[in-house]
Formats: sequence, structure tokens, C-alpha cells
Amino acid sequence: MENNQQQGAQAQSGPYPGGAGGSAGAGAGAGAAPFQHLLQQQQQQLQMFWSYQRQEIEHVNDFKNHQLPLARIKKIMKADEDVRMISAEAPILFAKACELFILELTIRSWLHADENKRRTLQKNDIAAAITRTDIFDFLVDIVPRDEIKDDAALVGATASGVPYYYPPIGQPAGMMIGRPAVDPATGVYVQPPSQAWQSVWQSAAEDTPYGTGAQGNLDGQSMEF
Amino acid sequence: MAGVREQDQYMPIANVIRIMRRILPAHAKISDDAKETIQECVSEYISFITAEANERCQREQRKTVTAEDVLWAMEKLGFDNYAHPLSLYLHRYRKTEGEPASARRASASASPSMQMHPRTHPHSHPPNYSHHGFGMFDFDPSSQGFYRDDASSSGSGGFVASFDPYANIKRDPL
Repeated sequence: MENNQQQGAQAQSGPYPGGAGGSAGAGAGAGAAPFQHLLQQQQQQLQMFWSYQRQEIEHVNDFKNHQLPLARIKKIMKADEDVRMISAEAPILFAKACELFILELTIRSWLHADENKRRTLQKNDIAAAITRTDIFDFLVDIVPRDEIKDDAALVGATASGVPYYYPPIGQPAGMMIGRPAVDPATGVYVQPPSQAWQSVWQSAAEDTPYGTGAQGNLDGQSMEF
Repeated sequence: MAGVREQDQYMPIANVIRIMRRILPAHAKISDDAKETIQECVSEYISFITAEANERCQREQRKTVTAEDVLWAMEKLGFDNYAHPLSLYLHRYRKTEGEPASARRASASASPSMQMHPRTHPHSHPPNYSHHGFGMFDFDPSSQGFYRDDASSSGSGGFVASFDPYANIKRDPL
């Protein structure tokens, strides 16, 4: 069952060759690079999220009952003084767009909470999701620096060790952005490792190769460690 | 309208939480500061995309920001994953709703925010009551629940676009 799903996922990610697969169970230390497996699972979950959203939109038949009020969306759009007139379809489109945005941000935040073995989604989980995702760069001002510093403290803890990468997570971002948007000077794109990653990585004795070209930006980031 | 009231700056938190719960496992909890942070992020997202869409609008000397401008802005800002399904969404909307009627309904946007999933994807656990997502994180093989949802979504039959708001309410007893 698990193998079939992984095969399907790997077929989807043809243009981006994933790492070694075949391990059974989420987070189970099967010995074959559980760290790589966990990253691969997260990537698969995000891919399935988008695949599911596309299928859902193909079957939507109710365009009148929105998850978010259109009047509120219009007010937020009009808060920009430069915006003069808004067509009726724009808030309707935004209602769906914001739904997708909330879902993606929530799932990426939950992945971070799950890494830390927590069941409560916290602000620092959202901060981590924002720092890990290039298209969410415009949100860095919303989460204060101390939220990111909390994760940065873990970077110091692993400074003595060998730095490791997040290539599978970077691949969706690479697919989403066709142009380089990473500015290492700002330090915003430093991806702080969590305790879970640290323990998982230390338990894995083997080295895992990361060779996909889409990880250029991530490689640049990792050099900052 | 520079001075927008505080409560109008954000999406209603109940709506935001309801959407978040759809993707979270049943045992997940959301802290209050996380709820507020997501609220702020959504408003920032709307402003971010709108500003880019409006720039294009002004460059072409148009006064009205259209849905096409929004889609264009999303692609320009890297939200390709959003622009593609939303383009399909817009096409389906125009096909089913039609231009003139949509203007009136959109202006009178007082319709209650109800979840679409209970109608289009009948689920064993109503999301409204059990706060159960689509099993993405609930099972050890997390994709298991997802594939079931896919099967149910592809299996759904006729799409009746009802124009009666009470019919919608009846179909979704809260």
C-alpha cells in the first residue's frame, strides 16, 4: 500500500528525481536514510495537496457560498489608495486564492510542528514555514525576528556538526518560482534545523547524495552555516 | 479610505480557523497567536497581490482591477501553483454563473460562509463537527486518506448549481 503510493508520487515527480525511496512507515527508522525519507514524505504531501486542490476545483459547483466574505476582501483590496475600481470577479477569485493560501501555509506550518513532536500549531511554526518557502518572503515582517531567532538558536547547536540540506522541500519552491529570489545577505532564507532533524540526522550513519540542479539556491543557503 | 477599521483589516477568524482545520489532523490544536498570525498573513497576501495587479492596471491606463490582473500578478510573484487552478476556477465560474448575474450577487456579498466540502465531497466525518481534515496526517500512510478523497471527488456525479440559498442551507445542516 505504502509502496504503491510512493511509486505514484515518484512518477509525478519525474522531472525532479527524488532521493532513495521504499522505506515503510512515517518516520520509522528502517535504516535506509530515514532523514531522506522524511523529507521525501513532506514533499509528497505538498504535491498531493496541490494535486487534490486542482481536482477539487474541477468539480466545484457552488460559486455563491464562499469560505471568506467578499466584502471584507474588497475592503482590504481598497485599503491601498492607488486601487480605484475592482471588478466583481476579483474578490471572488481572491476568496478561493486565500483559501488555498491558508491551506498551504497551515500544512507547511504543521509539518514544522510535527517535526518537533508537538500537537499545537504555534506562531514559530508559521515563522518556520515562511522562512522555508520563497514565495512567502513578503510575510517575513509579520513574524517578529525573535520567532526566527528561536529556531536560529538550534543552528548554533549544530554549528559544530556537518551542515545538512532540505532539498526535497526546496524542490516545490523551485517549481513555484522560475527566477532566483534568494538573497543570502538578508539571512531570511536560512533554514534552521529542528531538534527532530538533528536527532534523525545523527542517527543516520550514511551519507545521502543531493544532486538535483533545482537545489542551487538551497546549496547557496547551506553554505552560510 | 485610508483609515480602515481594525476589525475590517482581517478575515473573520472563525472562517480562517475553519479552513485551517480542513487540512490539519483531528488531534491538532491551534494556538491563539497562530490564529492571529494567519489572519495577518492573509491580509498581507491580498494586499501584496492586489498591489502588483494594480500596477499592471495603471500601466495599461485602466481603472478597474480585473480577475485577469490578479491571476497575472500571482504568476509574476511566483504563485504559479495558485494561478493555474484559479484560472480554471474562474473559467468554470463564468460558465456556470454568467456575467450580469454575478455582478449583482458579488455586490451583495452577504451570503454566509459555508464549507463546500460537505456538499461536493460527502465524507464519513462531517468537517464541521469533528474538525477532521482529509486524513493527510491522521494515518501512518498519510496519502491513504488523500487517495480516498480523490476517489470520492472523481466519483461525484451531476453538479446542480442551485440558485436558492435555502436549498444550500438545507443540504448542509449545521
